[in-house]
Amino acid sequence: MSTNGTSLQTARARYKETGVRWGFIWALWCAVLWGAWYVPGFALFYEEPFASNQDTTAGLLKVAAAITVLNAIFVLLAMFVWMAVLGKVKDYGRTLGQSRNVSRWLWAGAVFGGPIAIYGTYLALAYVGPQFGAVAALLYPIVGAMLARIWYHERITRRAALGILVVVIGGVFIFTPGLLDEIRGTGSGEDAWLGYLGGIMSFVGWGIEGAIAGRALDVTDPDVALPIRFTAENVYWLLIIVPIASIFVGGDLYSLMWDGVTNGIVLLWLALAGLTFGFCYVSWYKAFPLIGVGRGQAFADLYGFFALVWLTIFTLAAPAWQFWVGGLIAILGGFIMYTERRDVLEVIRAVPGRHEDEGPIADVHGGAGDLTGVGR
Amino acid sequence: MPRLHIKGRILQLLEERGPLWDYEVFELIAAEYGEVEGQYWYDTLRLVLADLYSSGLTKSIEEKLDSAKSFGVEKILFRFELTAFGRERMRHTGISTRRRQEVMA
Repeated sequence: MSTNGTSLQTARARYKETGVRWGFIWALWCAVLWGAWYVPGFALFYEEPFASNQDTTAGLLKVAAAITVLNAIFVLLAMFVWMAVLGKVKDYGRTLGQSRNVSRWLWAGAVFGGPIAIYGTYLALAYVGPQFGAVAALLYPIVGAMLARIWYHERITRRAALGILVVVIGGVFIFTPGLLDEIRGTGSGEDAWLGYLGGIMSFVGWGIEGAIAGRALDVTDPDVALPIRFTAENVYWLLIIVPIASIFVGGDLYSLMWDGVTNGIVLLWLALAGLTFGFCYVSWYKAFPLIGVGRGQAFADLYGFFALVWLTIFTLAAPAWQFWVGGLIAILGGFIMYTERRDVLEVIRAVPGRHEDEGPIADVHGGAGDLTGVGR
Repeated sequence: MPRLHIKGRILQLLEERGPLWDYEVFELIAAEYGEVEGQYWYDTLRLVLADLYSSGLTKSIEEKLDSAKSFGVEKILFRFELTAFGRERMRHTGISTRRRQEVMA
């Protein structure tokens, strides 16, 4: 046992650094897996029954929905394996039971992350292409960082603001050339606007989800919170959206999904999609408490680079120049946001009044822009 | 069987009992939650405490090194205290028992 002051001080400094470092490790792990997910995610469109049902707009919308639902189911399955390995299934049940004040935030996040962001991504993949789908969502840290600032006072320094600006410039490169082609009528297809809409849905949805998740993760375990978020998405799709949609489109969605899971190759792609996406997502959630939502999201944006690399390897098609340029600028912006001074990183919540003296903060958090005041 | 999730209960213990060492948190949680035992869970709870600390819900008011308290491995031990922000988060998420007592009183 050593208790001298110097070693203690070193150990304390190391402990703080370790927390920050692990936050970035989780965010990087998220980026690698997130990028990898676009390969099975896009490959699914080439397998039956999905390949032969994309001729009409309605058909492609249904295929994208069926794939999104199956993706959600397989992510949840992967997460149950994860919780079983960690021994946290019981805590999953307990956290789920705290629905009134705790897990409801995860349910709220799932609305934006699932039917909006993930479905939007699949629309972008289907209508414009995988490279676009992958880089469009790069803009999400802007939404996440701003909401985290407004809702729970996560610090946005001047440097972070500059990073956000650079990310936006990257976004202009990603979206503008294709959109201009659409406006001129020389675009990739008559329904390509649906893909661009999907791209917007993906970054707005994920940005909002991240901000809400950061709030829930204050009091929940990320390994349990993420499975609850996917439980919610499954409930939304299977108990609400698919049954309602089926009133209008008949049993098409059910038969598409059923034909999908009875095809061995589809099952394989779904298993890969569930594993890559599930573990990317849980790493995302694990990064938030350690380095903050804004920084976690910005760093996870490196996924854009990995996605382009993975897609180039597997599809043997080089992405258009604007995706590389826009993607690299967006990632650069993420780095500007994250390479802040250490002392800023140590306390990610600059709550006014919460200084050494632990002054009053109730008035600050009771403001109109505070998420905690919603629905109360 | 306890109904509150572990992270929520850790916050409650810090609220009810004041500052606690991480090994004290482990002992208290292990007494209430059947699955919590051994070094694996000790390390798991330390990660939960690291989350709470990084998110600003707790702060460390004392540190020491004592391998006897951490399964023979020399780790820095922390005595954590809830911050005002942590108390506020507890109130907003219904985890605070203090609020319930005040409401009933």
